[in-house]
Amino acid sequence: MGLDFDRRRLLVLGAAVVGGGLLGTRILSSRDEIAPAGASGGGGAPRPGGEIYYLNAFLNAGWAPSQIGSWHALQVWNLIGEYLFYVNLQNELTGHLATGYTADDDFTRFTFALRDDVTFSNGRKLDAEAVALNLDLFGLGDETRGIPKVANIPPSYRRTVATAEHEVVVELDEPFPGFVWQLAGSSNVAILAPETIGLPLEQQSDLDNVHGTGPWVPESWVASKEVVLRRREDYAWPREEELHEGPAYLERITVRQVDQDLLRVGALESGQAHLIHYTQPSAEDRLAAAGHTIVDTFASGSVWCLHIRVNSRFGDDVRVREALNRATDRQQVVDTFYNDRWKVAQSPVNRATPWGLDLSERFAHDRGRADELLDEAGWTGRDGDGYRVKDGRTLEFVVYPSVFITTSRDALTLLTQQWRSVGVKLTLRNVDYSNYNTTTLANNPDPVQLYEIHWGASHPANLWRWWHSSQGNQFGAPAPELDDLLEQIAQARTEDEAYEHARQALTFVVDHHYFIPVHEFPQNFAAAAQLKGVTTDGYPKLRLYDAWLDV
Amino acid sequence: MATATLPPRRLRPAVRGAHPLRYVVARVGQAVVTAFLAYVLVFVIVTVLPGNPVEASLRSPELGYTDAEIDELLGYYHLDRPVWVQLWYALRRLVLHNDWGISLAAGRPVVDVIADGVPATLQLASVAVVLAALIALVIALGVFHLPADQGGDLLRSFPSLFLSLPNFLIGLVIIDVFAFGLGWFRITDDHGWAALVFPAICLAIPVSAPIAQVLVTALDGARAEQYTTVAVAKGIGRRHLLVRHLLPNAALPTLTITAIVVGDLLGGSMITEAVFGRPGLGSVIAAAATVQDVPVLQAAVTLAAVIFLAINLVVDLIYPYLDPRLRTQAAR
Repeated sequence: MGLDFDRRRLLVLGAAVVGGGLLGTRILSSRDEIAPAGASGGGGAPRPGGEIYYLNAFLNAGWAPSQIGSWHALQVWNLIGEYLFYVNLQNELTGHLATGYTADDDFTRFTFALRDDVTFSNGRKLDAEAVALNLDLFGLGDETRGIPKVANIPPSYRRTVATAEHEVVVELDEPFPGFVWQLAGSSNVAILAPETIGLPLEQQSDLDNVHGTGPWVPESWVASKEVVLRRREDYAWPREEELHEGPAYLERITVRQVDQDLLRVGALESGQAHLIHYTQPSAEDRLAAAGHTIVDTFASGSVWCLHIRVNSRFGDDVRVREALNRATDRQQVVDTFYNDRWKVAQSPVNRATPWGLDLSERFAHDRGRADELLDEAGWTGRDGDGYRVKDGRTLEFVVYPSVFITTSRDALTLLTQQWRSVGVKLTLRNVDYSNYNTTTLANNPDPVQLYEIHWGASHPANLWRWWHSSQGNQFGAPAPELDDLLEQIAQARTEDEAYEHARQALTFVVDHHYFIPVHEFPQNFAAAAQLKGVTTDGYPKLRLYDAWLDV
Repeated sequence: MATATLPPRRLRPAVRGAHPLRYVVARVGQAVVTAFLAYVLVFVIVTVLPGNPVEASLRSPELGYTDAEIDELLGYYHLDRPVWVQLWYALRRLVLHNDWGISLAAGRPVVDVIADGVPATLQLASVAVVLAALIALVIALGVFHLPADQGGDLLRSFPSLFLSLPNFLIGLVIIDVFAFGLGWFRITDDHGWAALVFPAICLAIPVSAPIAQVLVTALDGARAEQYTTVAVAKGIGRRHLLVRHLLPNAALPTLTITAIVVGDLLGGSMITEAVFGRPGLGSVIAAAATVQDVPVLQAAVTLAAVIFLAINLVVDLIYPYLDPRLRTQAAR
């Protein structure tokens, strides 16, 4: 007994000593290699040179262009490769490697004029032949090498022809006015040297073989861990909106994979990193207060919301769908998990979307109305737990929290409480990463009723790709009127026309409660105080060409 | 004289009786069979599970690929064929061409993917084993020297404490204190002794627990033997007793458990490498398991099995050099 007491007391004492020691070392060692607030010395002139450490939540194990599908990989890819077109922060299409384009009247032929002063990092000049090879790979893929086509390129892509040294013509089998936007708003459509894209897939996957036209080139890389980029000294074709000419300021960028959110933030705070992707919302205010720069970009479209599969159990009743919308307190979700930078959704697309609308009144939180609607739908009985029942069935919805969004489960857990207050049961199920996409398919025999998204849409054609019953078919069985509206988007002859049809489609899905919009979803970065000039484009891809170290 | 009183040990028959060369050949053959079974079993287990890397990435509704477009890719990787056909392709490729295949997730040769991770993990695991042995030795010596009420019992509780500490928690504390706080190493840089030693400490702490437990128990057992009593009665010094009699007798079970826990190092390295952002085989396996990248998993598990068997073989061969009694038995 006495021995037990002694051991316990010693354990407690030991723990106190160790804990105190750890705390002490933490407090006594508050040195920052990168001093935060005010250390930048004000806004001096940009200085070339220097190396930064950029922490990404994920880095690829292979870097074939067809594998650049994630937001994480895209941020690295955008430093090495460049695109024919970009979407700027005002969501306008701007030319880069292509200085401009024309389209024929039925939007089946697009002519691109190309820059004549660009070279790939292997020394080869950018010309029409190189661009045509790239576009054919984007549009058709290569079955013999296991390379899929780029998803957002329309299936009607036929071919690209080099019509002059610096001019290509793209031919489609069917009109697709939003085609050019797909070359700016897709992740893996950077133009690469023919020597790269002609390689077998396993050699394309080696980043050493990737030759782009961007301001940096790969110097070394370790799969899933690190990419070191070196400045291209002969780079001389910056985009129009960049602030300087010639090579980028930063000489070297070391990108490291650190998948723990806390560690990325800790590394930035302790001066071990200059730039991090994805900050925890709870850390943003602290970082900003310490002088770090938070770079938030709300890509056109991106809203965290739930698709309701209208072909699913209980999803086919519009009164029930509206009740779910009315039972959802979006402001509480934002207040609970996020900060002032995050906004509640006002439609299925965000405020940055040029073709967006404020439809928030049509799905505003109204618990009383939710109860009325469910009563009208016949869900008047209650089971022992207080959930609504009808014909012996409980009003239950199932959702699989996204494997891609770290805050997904928490936010959905709050929704389970909100919906419970009106007698609706929301069940969260788990599935591993490998099976998430197949488990949540809309066309499964017994489709999961709710599907969580946060997708960006730079052009309304994305709505057609996602929602039309012949394409992604995310609602399972959309009304024919919605299919008609989506076809009108795909066939629109002008941007204005496409935007107008997009607004009609948004209004339709809101009025029919196909959607539960919750909050707008930014891509965010945090930069150390002395790293200046970090920005993004509108997609958003990270831009570091004008970034410099103020040390 | 003293050896006659020793309790019977569980010594491997092959070591006791067989000719060393024959024994080595037998064990190598056994290793080949085990590695082959590991290769096949991993393939079957992972392949029969639903999902694959191609569908995991391309089925995303955001991409909007049609079934026909996805089927094309599945066909390219033979993922649309029955499991036994896929296995036949994999075995034929391996046996005839020594081709381990292409990583379905990385698109790179599996050999390259594995080769990327092996050196870093071997380095980390080697340092971790040494550190674990040192930690275990310090605990055992502490228990031996300190009276129970003056820290001896506290030290006895350390292995249990180490076993119960989650690996990632140790890693986070180490990073917060020594990287972010004291700046002794950087999580953005793998170079330098500190960048290796601190992850190795993280990996070594839980691994040291079973080694320490066995070593302490073995020392206790040796201390209770009659030869110890005799030696003490003859006036042998405490240090001499420990070095000449107790530690050599405690070495065999300790070596055995050390060889066994090497297997744990691979599992632990997955977490350690992830937390510290280090490259390595552990993180390769973790990434491959996440997306069911079968060729990489097959190669990695086979390699792990071979390493495990090789270490145990080496330990078996070392036994006779540590224990003269085994040499005598083998000679008979």
